[in-house]
Amino acid sequence: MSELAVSARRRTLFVMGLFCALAMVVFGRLLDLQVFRRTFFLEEGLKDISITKVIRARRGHIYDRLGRPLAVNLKGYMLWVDGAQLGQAIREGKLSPEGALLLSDLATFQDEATTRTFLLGQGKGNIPWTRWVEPQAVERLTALFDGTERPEGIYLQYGLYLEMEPHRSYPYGPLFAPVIGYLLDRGSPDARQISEYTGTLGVEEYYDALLKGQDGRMRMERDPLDNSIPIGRYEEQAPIDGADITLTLNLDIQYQAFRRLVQAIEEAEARRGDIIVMDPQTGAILAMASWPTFDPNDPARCAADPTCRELMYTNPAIARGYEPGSTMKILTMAIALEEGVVRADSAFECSGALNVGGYTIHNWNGLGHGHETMAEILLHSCNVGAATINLRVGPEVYYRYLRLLGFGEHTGIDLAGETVPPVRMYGDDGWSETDLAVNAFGQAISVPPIQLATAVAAVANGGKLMKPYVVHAIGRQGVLNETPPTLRRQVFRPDTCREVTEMLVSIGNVKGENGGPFVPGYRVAVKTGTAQIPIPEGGGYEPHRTIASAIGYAPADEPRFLILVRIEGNTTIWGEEVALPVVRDLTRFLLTYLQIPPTEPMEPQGP
Amino acid sequence: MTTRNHTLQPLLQAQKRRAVLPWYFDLGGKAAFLVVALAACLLALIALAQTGRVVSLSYDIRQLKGEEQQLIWEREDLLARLARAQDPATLEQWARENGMEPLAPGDVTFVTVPAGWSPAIAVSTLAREP
Repeated sequence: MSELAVSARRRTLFVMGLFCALAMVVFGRLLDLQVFRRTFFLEEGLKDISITKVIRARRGHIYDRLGRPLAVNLKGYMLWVDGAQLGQAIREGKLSPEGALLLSDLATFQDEATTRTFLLGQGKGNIPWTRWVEPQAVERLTALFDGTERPEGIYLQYGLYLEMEPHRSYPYGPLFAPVIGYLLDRGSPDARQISEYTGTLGVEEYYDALLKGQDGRMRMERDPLDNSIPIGRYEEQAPIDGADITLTLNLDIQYQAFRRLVQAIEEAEARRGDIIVMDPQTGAILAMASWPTFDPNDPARCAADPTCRELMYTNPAIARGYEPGSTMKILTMAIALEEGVVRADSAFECSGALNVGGYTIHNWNGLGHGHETMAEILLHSCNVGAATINLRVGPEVYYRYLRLLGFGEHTGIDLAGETVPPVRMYGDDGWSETDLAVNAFGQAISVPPIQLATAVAAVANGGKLMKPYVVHAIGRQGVLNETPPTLRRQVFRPDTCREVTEMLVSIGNVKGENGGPFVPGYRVAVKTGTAQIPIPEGGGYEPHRTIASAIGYAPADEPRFLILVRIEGNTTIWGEEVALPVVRDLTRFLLTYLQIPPTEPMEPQGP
Repeated sequence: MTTRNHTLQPLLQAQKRRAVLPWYFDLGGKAAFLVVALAACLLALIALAQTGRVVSLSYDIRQLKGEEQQLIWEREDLLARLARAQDPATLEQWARENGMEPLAPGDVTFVTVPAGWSPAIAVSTLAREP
């Protein structure tokens, strides 16, 4: 090969190499932009030409056991105000005095200074003005400011915008308030931002994550006027709607319980009260009512009233402890029978007074009842007899059973706000033998109603401690999941429970109207209690106030429901006079409503 | 110096095609322009039709979504109305105004239907009983 040809080949190779290198640089840059940093540049580009909108997930409904709606979402709006546009309208004299007055009335979200600044036309930025605008106010706003409705909201003149924001509605208002709860705007540190409504109290709080679902997003290209471009890029992440929840509560039973509770409180001029109706076989709550209560449809208004505010953060039936009084004797008797310390036919001398550790225990009437069987101890509610039984049972055994019955721990009910008052157990600081004696008839021990109802249900159902629950089923995306009953543990033998039930039925047989059967034709187990109210500071009890309570279940041999009534008096009120009639009326209603046939003759048998 | 002879097959094949379709390459400038313009118009028409269809569907989807939203609100409103209609307090008041009273356990007669009886047999048999 000639020297010239070699030189030409070298030059060719050099040029080719140079081009290859340049191509590699270009290719590398291309790779960097198009592959490695593709997402970043894509996002940056889309930011300028696209808008992102949140697609709100629908909050799940809440239904009663028979599918009747207890919480729904109504069409509602939130009002936004753009300071610049409103200011311009004010300066040009376009805002009518009527319009200004309406805006002033509606300003609930911002502080007074911000509201004034905006209404003087000096506001800046787009701020939330008020949430959950009333339908009448929406009508007036659209009439005054010439509204244009779109799926996402209503555009008004002068920078006003009504953004669609569903309004949670509870059709039965206070009836279910402490159980279902409500939605509350917990507020945002920045008043120019809105915060999500949060489920507060009851089912709304406990199942908040399930009920609220997951918001979706929609991103689309926009034109300079912020309208979407139909042929532009469009991405949508569909929202996942919240789950629908069906409760174990029944509207009819709840209504009857609530109505009767209010009536009893008014008649006794009492302070407050609660009712729990439970299926003792499963732990399902059929009704849970409290009075006084609040309207969950307007929590903001309630929060502004100090009396109402006290009510809106607790469900007393699961959070407010009380000394259960003589209703506790049901458990005392069951423990003693289970351990064989006494037999159903054992008898004691009820002397009327008993000294334990320097403290004298008296019967409720201060009198002795003489020679009494176990059933008579319960029937006459003999404190001395119950204390004597407990002293025989002994502290280790008694408090072991209290633990087994769930005292001092959460029942695990699926409601937010359950509170467990501490129980002074054997071995705890300050415990004495007197505690053992007085605990037997429900003094010096505090339990919320749900805890006592659950424990007595264990006696009613043959010894099984069930976990109470209020959610029957959760439906999500077409799939329905039912809640199975949960057995926590077996506490008593069925034989023991039958014996205690017989004793309670013997009470029921004479506690009806005119001293007859509680409900003619049915075997109903009942026990009343009257508890003193401890003074928080200084010890001792209030001398002129009591808590009247009663527990009953029917049909006694295979109970379908258990009722617990607690009424806190302003004066001395008695379980038998105030709470027992409520249990009787509810029992009569439930036996008919649940279509439970009688097992006994309807009319008392003659001699 | 050695040389290698290759038969340039692709070129030969192209020559052959040119011989078969002479008219295509014999088009004058104006005719070729017209053909290209026509082709471009056709493509534009196709693209426009597609775009129009996309726009139309997009509006349809938006309208359907609006209708869906409207139906959801109507359903919610109906649920609320249903709840109000089923309010036990209202029902009780209505019942009392019409002379009705709540049932007591003694007011209900329970009839035991023997096992194996169909509802129709039970109703007809029990109806005959005094």
